Amino acid sequence: MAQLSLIAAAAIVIVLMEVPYLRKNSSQKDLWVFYLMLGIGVAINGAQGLQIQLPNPAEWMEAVFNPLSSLVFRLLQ
Amino acid sequence: MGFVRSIKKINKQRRPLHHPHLDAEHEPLLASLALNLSKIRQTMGQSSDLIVREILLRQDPLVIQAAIVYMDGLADVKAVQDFILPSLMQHRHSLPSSLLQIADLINEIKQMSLTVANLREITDFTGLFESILSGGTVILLDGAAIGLAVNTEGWEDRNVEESTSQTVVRGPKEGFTENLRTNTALIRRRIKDPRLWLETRTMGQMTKTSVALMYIRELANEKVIEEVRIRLDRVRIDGILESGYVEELIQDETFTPFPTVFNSERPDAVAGGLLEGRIAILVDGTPFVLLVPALFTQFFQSPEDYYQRADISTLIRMLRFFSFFIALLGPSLYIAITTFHQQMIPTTLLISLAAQREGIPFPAFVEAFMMELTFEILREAGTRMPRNVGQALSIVGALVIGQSAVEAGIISAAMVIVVSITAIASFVLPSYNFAISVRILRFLFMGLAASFGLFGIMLGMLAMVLHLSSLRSFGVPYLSPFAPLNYMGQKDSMFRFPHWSLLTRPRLISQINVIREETPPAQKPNRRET
Amino acid sequence: MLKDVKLSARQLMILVLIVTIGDSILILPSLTTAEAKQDAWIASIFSLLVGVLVVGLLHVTSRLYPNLTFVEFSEKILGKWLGIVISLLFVSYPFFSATAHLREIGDFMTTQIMPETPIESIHIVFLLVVLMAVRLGLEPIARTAEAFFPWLTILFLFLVVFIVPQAKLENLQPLFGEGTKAMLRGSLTFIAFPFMELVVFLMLIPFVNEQNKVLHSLLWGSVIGGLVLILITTLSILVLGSELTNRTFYPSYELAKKIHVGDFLERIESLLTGIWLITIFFKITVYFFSAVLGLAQILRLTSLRPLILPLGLILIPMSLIISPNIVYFNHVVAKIWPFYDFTYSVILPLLLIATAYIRRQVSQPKH
Repeated sequence: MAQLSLIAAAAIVIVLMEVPYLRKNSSQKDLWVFYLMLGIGVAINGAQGLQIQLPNPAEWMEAVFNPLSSLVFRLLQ
Repeated sequence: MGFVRSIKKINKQRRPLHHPHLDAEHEPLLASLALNLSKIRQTMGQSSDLIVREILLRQDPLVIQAAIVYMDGLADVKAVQDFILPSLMQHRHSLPSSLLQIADLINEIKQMSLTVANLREITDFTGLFESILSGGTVILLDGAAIGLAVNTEGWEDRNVEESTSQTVVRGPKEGFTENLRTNTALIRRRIKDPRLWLETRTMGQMTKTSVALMYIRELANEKVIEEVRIRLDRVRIDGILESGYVEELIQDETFTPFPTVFNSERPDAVAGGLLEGRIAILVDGTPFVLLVPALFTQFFQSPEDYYQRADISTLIRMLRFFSFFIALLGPSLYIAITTFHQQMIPTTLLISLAAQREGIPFPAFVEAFMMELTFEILREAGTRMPRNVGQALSIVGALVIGQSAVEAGIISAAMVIVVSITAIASFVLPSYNFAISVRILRFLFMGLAASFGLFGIMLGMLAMVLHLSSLRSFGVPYLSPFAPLNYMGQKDSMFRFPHWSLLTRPRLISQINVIREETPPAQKPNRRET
Repeated sequence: MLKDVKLSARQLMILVLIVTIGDSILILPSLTTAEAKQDAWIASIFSLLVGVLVVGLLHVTSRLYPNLTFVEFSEKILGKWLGIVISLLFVSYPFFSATAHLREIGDFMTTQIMPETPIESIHIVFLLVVLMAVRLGLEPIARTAEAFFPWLTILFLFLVVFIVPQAKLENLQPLFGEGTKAMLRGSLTFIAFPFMELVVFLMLIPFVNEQNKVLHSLLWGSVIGGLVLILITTLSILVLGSELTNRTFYPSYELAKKIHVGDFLERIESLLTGIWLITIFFKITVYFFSAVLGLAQILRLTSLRPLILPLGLILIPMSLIISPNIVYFNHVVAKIWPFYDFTYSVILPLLLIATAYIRRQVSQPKH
C-alpha cells in the first residue's frame, strides 16, 4: 500500500511539474503523449507494486539472440 | 516556471502606478507665480522642509516678483545664500517694461547674473519636483511659465573610507560610498580613457534612483550591453534602495543558490572588471557596485591576486578552491565516512573516534546538523547584534556551546573540529554572497551523505555541477573557462599567470578587442645579459 | 527541435571517451577474463582494433546525412513506415541499455558498498540526477562531462599509479595458453560493450558544430577509452591473477581495495568508486537522452519535456524486472547482450548504408 501511495505521489509531482509548462508551450499532442506515457508508467509501477509478474525484456532478447549466441560460442569452443 | 510566471503577472497588474495627484505633476508651469507656489505647496502637503523664499527683482521703478524654491537639507544653503540670492538681488537687471519681454530677463539671468555652473530650464511641475527633490534650487519669476533649476546638491555624505566587506593586505584601501557621483569619479580616476562610457537612467517610480551603466566601449560586448539595457528597462518597481534590488530584477536565473551577478565595494575591482570587458552597474545610495557577466571563477578571485606575486596568488587561489570544497563537503564527508565507510579511517583514529562517540545519543547526521545550525545562528547573531555586545556573544558561543556541549556529552569533540574547520573555510571565500550559497548547499550534502554515504555526495556533486553548467550570466556560460574549456582562460581562473602572459581578455566576455596589450607580446622582462 | 543546441568537437570527444569507459570499466575485465583467462589483455588489444573498425562504420553511417539523427535519416532512407518501425526498435535499444546500466549500478552498490540500502532507493536517486541532466539538455550534460573530466583523470591516474607496484608479471603466464578461440570468445564482450554501444552517438552527432572533426573526436575518444579499459584489464590480471579477476564481478573495485599508500591511506575504494559512478552516470544519461530524443522525433513532438519524467517513471520498475536474479542477469549480459549490440551497431548501419546506396543508384542513373 505504501508503495502504491508513493507511486501516486510521484505521478502527482510529475503532473504538477510538467503540465503547466506543457499547457503553455507545447502542442495538444505533446500533452496527450505526456498523459499516455505517464499512464503507462503508473500502470507498470502499480503492477510492480501489486507483485504482478511482468514480462521481462531480457527474456525476449534471449529468445531472439540465443540461437546466434549458442552458435557462435559453439564455433569458438 | 509556473510560479515565476504568476509573479510576473502580478508585476504586470501593478504597473499603473500613477496616483491621481501625481498625474497633476505633468501640468506645465503657469505664468502666475502665486498660482505656481500654491500648487507646489499643495502637492508637497505643507512639508516643513520645503523652503520658498519670495524676493523682488527691482530696478526703479519697476518690480518683478520672484521666488526660489528648494528643500532644506537636500540643497546646500550656503550655495543658495552665496551665489543665487546675491546674483538675483544685487544685480541691476534691465527689467522689462511689459510682461512680453520676460524671456529677455530670463536670458539675462542665465547669461549674465547667475554665477553657477550647472543650470537648466524647466517647463513643467515634473521637472520642478525632480529638481528640488534631488537637491536643486528652482527660481521662478512672476509672469514666466519657465523656471530655472540650479544644481545645488549639498547633503551630508560619508567620506571615501576603507571598504569593510572586501579587505586586502596590499592594494588601494578606498571603497565606494553611497554617492553615485563619487563612485563614478573613483572609477574614472583609475581609467582615464574617453572610451569609458557612462549611461544614467532613473529607476523606481517613487524613489527615482539614479542607476548608471558604466562600460568601456570597444571592450565590452555590445550584445551584452544591449541585454543589460533591455533588462533594466523592463524593471517596473516603486523603489530601489540598494543594488541588490537591481541584481535580483535583472539576473538570469532566480532559483539558484549561486550568484550570477558580481558585486564589489572596491573601485579597483570594478575597474579591473571594466578592463576585462565587463559592465558595471552603479546604483545611487549604495557602495555596492554590480559587475556583469559574472562567472563562477570570479567569486574565487580577490583584487589582491593581481597585486601580489603571481606564484603566491596562484597558490592562494588554489587554497580558496580547496576551502570551497571543505566548506561545502566537510561535515557531509565526516557523516558519510563515520556512518558508511568506517574502513577508510585508520584503525587508531577509528578507535578514538568510537570512544568519543560512545556517550553521544545522536547519529552523526543529527549531531552535525545541530552543530551547523548552532553555528549559523551564532554567525547571524554576530552580524545583526549591536557591536558592543560582541564580546558576550563570543564567550557564550565559543566556551559555552563549544566546550560545554562536548563535556556534557551532547556532541563529540571531533564534530566540533569538523564544524569549526568548515566555518573557517567558508570565510576564505572572498565573496560573501557566494559563501552563502555554499552554506545552503552544505545542508543538502549533509542530508545526502546521511542517507547514501559517499555515493550520495557523488550524486550531489554531479547534480550541482549540472546545475552550474546550465547557468548563464548574461549569455556567458557560468562555468567557463572550465566548461566549455578554454585554454587561454585557464591563465586567469584557477591559476594566476604573470601579468606579461595575460595577453588576452577573457574570451566570451569581451569578444572584440581581446588583446590586452597592443604592443607585440614582448612584455616578458628580459634577464639582464651577464 | 533542439536545432540551436551545439556541441564542440572536444565535448563530443570527451563524451565518447566517457561513454566508452562507461560501465565497461566495472564489469568488462571479469567478463573477458572469464573466457580468455590470463590472455584477456591480448584479447582486449585485438578488440580495440576491431572496435576502431566499428567506430569507423558508425562514422560512415553518420555521414549519410550529417545533419540528421538516426531516427530522422532512417525514415528518409527506409520510407516512412519501415523507418518508424526501425526507429522504434532503435529507440528501445538505448532505453533497455540504460535500464541494464542502472541495474548494474544498483547491484554494485548493494553488493559491495551499502548492503543495507534497498536497491530501489539507489536506482531512484541515481535516476533523479539523470532526469535532471536530461531535462537541462545536451549542452549542460556536455559541459558537466568537460568539468568532471580532469577529476576523472586524476582519480584514474591515482588508481593506476598506486596499484602498479603490486603487479606480478607471472600472472600473465602462460602466454597464449588458452588458444585463439578463447581469446576470440573473450573479445566478444570487449568489442561489444565499449565500442558497439557507441552507436547511440548517431543520435547526437548532428548537434556537433564542427562536422569535419567528428571522425577525429569519435576515433580519439574511443581509442583513449579503449586504452583505459585495456590498462584496467591488464592490471586486474597482473595484480589479482586471472582466477580472481574472473571470480569477482567487479575487478576494478577489487584493485581499488588493494591500494595502500603508506600506513594511513588504505581502503579508499569508496573514493575511487567515483570513477565508474561518473562514467556510468554519463553513459546512462547519454543513452536516456538518445532514447527520449528518438522517441520525440518519431512522435514529432515539439519538445522533449513530455517524455522525460514519464519515461523515467517507467525505467525504475524495468530496472527491477530486467534482472530477476544476478546469475540470470550475468548470463544475459555475457552471452546475449553482445549480439544485441551487434545487431544495432553493425547490421542496422550496414542495412541503412546499403539501402541508401541502392536508392541513390536508382534515383541518379549513370549518365
